[in-house]
This record gives sequence, structure tokens and C-alpha cells, in this order.
Amino acid sequence: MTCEKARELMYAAIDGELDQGHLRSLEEHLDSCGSCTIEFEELKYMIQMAGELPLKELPDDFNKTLHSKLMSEAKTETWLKKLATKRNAFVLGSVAVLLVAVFAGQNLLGGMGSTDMAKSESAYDFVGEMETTAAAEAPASVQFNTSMKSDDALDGGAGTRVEATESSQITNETYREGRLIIHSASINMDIEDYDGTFMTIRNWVEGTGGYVESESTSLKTNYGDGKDLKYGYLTLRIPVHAYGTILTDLKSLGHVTRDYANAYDVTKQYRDTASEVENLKVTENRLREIMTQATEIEDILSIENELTRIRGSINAYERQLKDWEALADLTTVTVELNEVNSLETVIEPIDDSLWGKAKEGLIDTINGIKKAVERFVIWTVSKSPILLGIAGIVFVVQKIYFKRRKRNET
Amino acid sequence: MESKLIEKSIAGDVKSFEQLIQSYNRYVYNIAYRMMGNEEDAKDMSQEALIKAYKAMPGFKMESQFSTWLYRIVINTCKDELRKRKEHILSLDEEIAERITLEQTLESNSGDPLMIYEKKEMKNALDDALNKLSDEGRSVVVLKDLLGYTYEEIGEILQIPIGTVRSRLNRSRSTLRMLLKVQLAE
Repeated sequence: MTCEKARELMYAAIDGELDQGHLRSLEEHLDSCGSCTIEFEELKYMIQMAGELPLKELPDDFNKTLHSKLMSEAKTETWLKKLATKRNAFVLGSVAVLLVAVFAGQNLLGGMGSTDMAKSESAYDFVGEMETTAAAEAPASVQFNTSMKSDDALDGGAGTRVEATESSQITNETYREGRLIIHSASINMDIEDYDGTFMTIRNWVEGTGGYVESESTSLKTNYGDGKDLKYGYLTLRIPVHAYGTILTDLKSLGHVTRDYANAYDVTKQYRDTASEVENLKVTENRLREIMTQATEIEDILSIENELTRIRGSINAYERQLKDWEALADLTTVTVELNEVNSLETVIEPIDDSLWGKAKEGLIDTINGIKKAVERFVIWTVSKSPILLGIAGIVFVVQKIYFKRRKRNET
Repeated sequence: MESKLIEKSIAGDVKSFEQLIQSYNRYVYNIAYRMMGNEEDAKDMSQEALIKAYKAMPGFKMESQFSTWLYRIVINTCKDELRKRKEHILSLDEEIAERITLEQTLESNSGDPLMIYEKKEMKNALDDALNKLSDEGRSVVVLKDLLGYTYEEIGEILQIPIGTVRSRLNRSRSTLRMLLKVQLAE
């Protein structure tokens, strides 16, 4: 018997699955083969140890947590069973058609470009009439049409309309009426008393209920003997009702060098976004309704996905609306202040400036000459070895030249 | 008794199901423990498997033994989870149990040589070594050598032919022996 064959038999022998004949031939081999004997003993010991490995005790809360999991599982199971399976087709169909209709609705409304809140109300009418529009849209909606009818017969028909009027009431409270304009202005001016003006502006702003968003003050480089002059800016957020008065007041504080005001009308964008939000909310409500009737996990998941997506866009649009409202409520005014000694125009004495310039010019020239001399001396000294060498060569060449000339002459 | 509980469980009765699994819970947990290698995962996986079993009760045919059916769910749940994790974590040691090198043999000799005489150390080493086996190999060894099931039962639980059970078991045992060479030689 080969060792390989013996190895195969060993396992079977340990498991007690070897018949007498094979067992005997294995024993014979083991008697004659030391390495196989060792292997056999090791295997036996190892498997015995494996059998003695203690079983782990169940964790203390095992049964308790399992029980609560099972109970919640049982609840969903029965809940799912309760819902009639024949509604599946209805659920799928209505989700599909609802999406088509909303998509079409958004496109339609997007092109309308209305100017007031009547627009979002018209959107509800549209949703109400969705069945017919959708039926004309796509052949797939035939299924929806019929199921919608059965739904109407039950309870759904009136529900949608009630919901719509409810949310349109909310609309009037939630969204702004009238024009929505974002004002901003910036003023640059020269003033005499920087700190005083700064404080005055601060007090005024606080008086209006606004606040200073940012401010900065720096010192100007002082050339003369006069006091340190400052310059800086303030960014003010002024409530819209005080915007006009504060601008006039600010301008009276000093000499205005630049004045800029801008009014950005976001009414149209605001209304469009608002009705977009309302449309999405109607869709959301409808989806939630469908969700309660969904039976298949797949349906529930896809509705859930759609709901998440719609919620996401609603939130984003609402954030945009709030931003606009905040910007319209609080106008932004930037004031740049430049302190001057006097707001009166000053004529400088001519003599002073003439002599000053002459003196500066003279000093410049003298300095220039001095620097040139310095540079020459430095250059000469530093290059002296080379210069001496060249001088030597010139001297020798000259000597030779003169000697030759003399010789030629004689 | 059991068949009555099974019938009620199929109908969705939680209490009956809990009674039914009462005597198997510990084995379920231990199989999961051996498959996953730690207690926390063992708890999660065994409970997940039991929930799966509860949900799948209507599909249980009386033809096979309940325990066999239940353990199959446990092992498959663990295997699925392990596979999922392997897809996330780069699997460098997938084949490790099949290719035992000298390095690994030396590595497993982490204990004090004097202590290796002790059975306890041997069992600890065995614990570690089991975790180094492949998922397939581990499930047969756990079922056969730790829990004492027969080839037939294992074949039924894992739904593989008995020949495969035997060859898988033998291969895994010899791998284990290689992993425990140092401890066994002492």
C-alpha cells in the first residue's frame, strides 16, 4: 500500500467508516511506515481536540433581540398580506402615469411664465385633470385611466382636490405676495472725523434693526506732521424699510466720491420656483398615497426612491426661496470711508514745493555722482590684478614697437 | 410535536417558531461563530439567518429535517456575508488554506513551546487554524468534527454529494494538520 492510499483510508478510519478488510491493510501499512503512523496519530488527536472544542454559550440578550426582530418581521408580513395583490397593477400603472403627467406638467408650466400666484393654483387644476391629459399622452396610461376610475369610486377622487386647496391655502401664508426686489448699494466718501463717523453709522444701523456684517479700518501712511489718517469700510445689512432713509443719511456724513445702487427684481424667479415647489408637493402627496397601497417590495423601493428624489428637489428649491426672501428683507450697503484733514480744497504754498523739489533734485544728483565714484573705485581695486597684468603687457609691447621703429629709422 | 410547531410557524406564528428553534439556537449560533470567527458577527448572522428561516417557513417541505434545513440557511447566510466582505476588502488570503507555506507553519507557532503540551493551547491554536480555512472547508470541518454530523447529513445541509463532503473534509483536515504541525509535533 502506498502512503497516499493509506492517507485516504486514515480519515475514513477515524470517522469509523472503514470496513474490516481495509482497516487491517491500513494497520499493516502503519506498522511498517513511521511517518504515516505519526500522521495518523496527529490526525486522531487533532480531530479529537476539535470534538472537544466547547460550544459557545448564547449571548444573554440573544432570545430577547431575536424576539423583537421576529415580531417586527411578523408585522410587516401580515401587513403585506392584507393588501390585495390585484392592486399591484394599479400601483405600477399609477406611479408611471403620475411621473409622466408631472413631467409634462412641469414643462407646460415652465413655458407659461406667469407673473402672480394664480399660477400655482392653476397647477392644481392641472393635476386634477391629469387622468385625461395622461390618457392622451401615452398608451400605457389606459391601465391607469381605468384604475383611476375605480379609485374615484372608492375614495380617491375628492381627496386630491381637498389636498390641493389645503396646500394652496398654505401657499398664501408661506410665500411672499407682491414684488421681491433685492437692493444693494455702495457709497465711497471722504470724511473728516473717521472714528466719529464710524460710530454714527454703527448707531444708525442698530437703530434700524440691521447689523454690521463686516468692517475694516487701516491707517494711511503719514507723510506730513499732521495726525494719522484712517481709511476703511463697513458692510451693512439694513432692513428694507429703512434702506432709503439710511442711504440719504449716510450721504450727508461727508463728501461722496462714488455712489452706486442696484435693485435686482427676483419676483419672476421666485414665483416660478414657488409653483415648482407646490407641484412637487402635490406629486409627493400622491406618491405617499400610492405608497400605502403598495404590496411588492420592489414597488415600495421604487416609490421610496422617487419620494427621496422629490423631497430633495423640494428642499433645494425652498432653500433658494428662503435665500431670496432673506436678501430682499435685508439690503446690503457697503460704505467706504476715507479720512481727510479737511474737506475744503487746500492750495499748497508754491515756494515750499518748488524749493523742496529743487532740493530733492540736487540731493539726487549728488548721490548719483557719489555712487558712480564709489562704484569706479571698487571696480578698479577689485580688478587690479588683471588691470596690472594688462598694463604690463601693453608696456612691453609698446617698448618692442618703439625699439623696432627706432631701428627702422636708423 | 415538532411537526405541529412547524405547521404553526408556517402560518406565521412567532411563538411557535421560537419554540421550534429553541433547541437549535445554540447550534445555529455556534455554526455562525465558527463561520464568522467572532461573537459579534456570530450573533448578527445567526439572528439574520433565523429571521430568514422564519420568512422562508412557508417554503419548508416536511421531506427534509428541520435542523438540516435551518443549518443550511445559517451556513449560506454566513457565506453570503463573507463573500460580500471579501468583495469589499481585497482578498489576498482567499486561497491561503489551500497553499500552506513554511512561513505559515512557523507563524502558527506563536505560543510558548512549553505550553503547547497543554490541551488548552492546542485548542486555541485549533480555533485560530479553523479561521484560516476557506469558507467551504471550514463549514465541513465544523459540521463533522466539531458538531459531529454524519457525511449524509452534511451532504444534505450543504447540498453537495457525499463524495464531495469526504474530499473537502479530508483536504481541510490535512490543511489543519499542516497549520498545527508545530503544536502536534510537541
